[in-house]
Amino acid sequence: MGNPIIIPSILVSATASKLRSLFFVIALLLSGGSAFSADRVYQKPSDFIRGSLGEIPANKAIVLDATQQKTVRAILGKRYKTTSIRHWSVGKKTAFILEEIGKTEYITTGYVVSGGKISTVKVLVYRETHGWEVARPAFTKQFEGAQLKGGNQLSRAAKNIAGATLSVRALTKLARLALYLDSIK
Amino acid sequence: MRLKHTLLASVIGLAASSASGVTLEELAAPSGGSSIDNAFLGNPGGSRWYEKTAIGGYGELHLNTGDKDQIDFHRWVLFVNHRFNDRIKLFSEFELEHSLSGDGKPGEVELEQAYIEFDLDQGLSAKAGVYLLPLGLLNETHEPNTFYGVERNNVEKNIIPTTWWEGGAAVSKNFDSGLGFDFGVHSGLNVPTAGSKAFSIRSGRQKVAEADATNWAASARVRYAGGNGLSVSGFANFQSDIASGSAEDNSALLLGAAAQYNSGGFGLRALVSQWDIDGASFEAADADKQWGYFVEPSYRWSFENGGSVGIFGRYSSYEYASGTRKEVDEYTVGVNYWPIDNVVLKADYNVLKQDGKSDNNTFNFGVGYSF
Repeated sequence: MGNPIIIPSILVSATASKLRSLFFVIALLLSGGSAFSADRVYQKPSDFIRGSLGEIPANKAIVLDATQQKTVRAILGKRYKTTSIRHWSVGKKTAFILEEIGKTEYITTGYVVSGGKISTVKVLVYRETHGWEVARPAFTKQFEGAQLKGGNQLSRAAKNIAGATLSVRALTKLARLALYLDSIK
Repeated sequence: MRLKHTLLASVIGLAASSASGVTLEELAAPSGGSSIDNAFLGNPGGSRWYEKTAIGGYGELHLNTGDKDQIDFHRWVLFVNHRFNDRIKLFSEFELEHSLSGDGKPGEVELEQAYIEFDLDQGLSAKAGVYLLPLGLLNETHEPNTFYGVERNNVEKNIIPTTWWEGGAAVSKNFDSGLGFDFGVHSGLNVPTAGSKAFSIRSGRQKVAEADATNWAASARVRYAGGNGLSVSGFANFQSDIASGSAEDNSALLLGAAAQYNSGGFGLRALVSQWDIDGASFEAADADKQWGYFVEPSYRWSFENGGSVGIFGRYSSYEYASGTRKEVDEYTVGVNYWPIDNVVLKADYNVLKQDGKSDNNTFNFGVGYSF
């Protein structure tokens, strides 16, 4: 190679020192592990309901009958984890806390539906290793105003994020599910 | 508690739904904040060992027709993951390539991932074990239903080289602003300097199989995902000696950048990367700079039944060494059909133009899945 590379020599020294500091940081953090939170909890579910509705009303539950379960399967591509799904309503607003697997872990997401349209989406707990970008408000606000059109599809699609495809799909499916559940509650 | 409530509510609900067909008051479940939080925090899958273990996988069958007609179940992959607790998790990936492995057989059995991840704080995690390096678009995420084209693109395959895994430790930090950083120290490449694969970066992968650990390497990535459909990343890999078999010093640096943009059905993927390798032997073989880039526009239509169809075109240009220097331009057009998100049928037409050789035109067909 004709020209000497500056960056590699920087990396050589950085690598040597970072190797030590990396393990030091890991050991330090692990030693106080119990003090650290685990999954990325962006907001407590109870705080989401209180913040969205102004209070935590008594919850109700939708118990899916066979026909409704079939529709849910069509939306998710599989059964929802339970056939009884809780929701909280104040006035026209209804809040759902729904969970779907991105790649291997559940993503816990809050949805508020008002007048057949999504008014709020908030990722509450993110457990996957990749795809955390879906928790950003810049992403979730894309769902605001979305409603169901034919085939229980969203009237507007959220843009995909590189490396977060499966999480984007999970949140999109749950948005469709929230709107469907609101229509049968 | 949650299970009891769910069961009780389900029983009451079934009775009520058979009468009213729709809803009931879930009187059995208190609606206080702590009850709600208990229901949704922690592990939603359950706390028994088998509820904390998840399996997944993907696979793809390819039919290539052209200079050589060939059908191959290219990859069969099984993920086995386990959540020891909310803080410590195991991720593993076991792969059978080309259906049949063994002496003289075309395939390989590979352990591509097996690492323990430690969730340290909001957005900060560390891992140790065998892991996929955070380089390029496909290296970490390559389920067949997540990309266009039957075969993975040859730029990432021959330059990065995807799929590339090493043993070591890494930390990742993600910020809510959309910025993310990854840094890892790990085992390195051992590129051959003689033979038919001489100076081939891809052939330097030791696959953490009784691998030479004389020399270490490091990977770094910075990435940003805007809320407007644009994701960009810059990545680097440093090898203290990329060919430990040779007597001279062959330190090497890979630099690259990748971008993806989606708006409605329109998508655009692009990547550029280059290796810069020290040493007289690489320079003499014209293998000291190996580089490539590709641009891939696409458009995807979604249907009401949950299926979708996408078309794409890709232009790739790359120069790499494998015995001799290869200078290649590729033109690819094709279609993906997803009956559901997890299953894809693919077809493409590829023209590969390599200096000093006649064009290689192939039709490729594939079926893939992930779960």
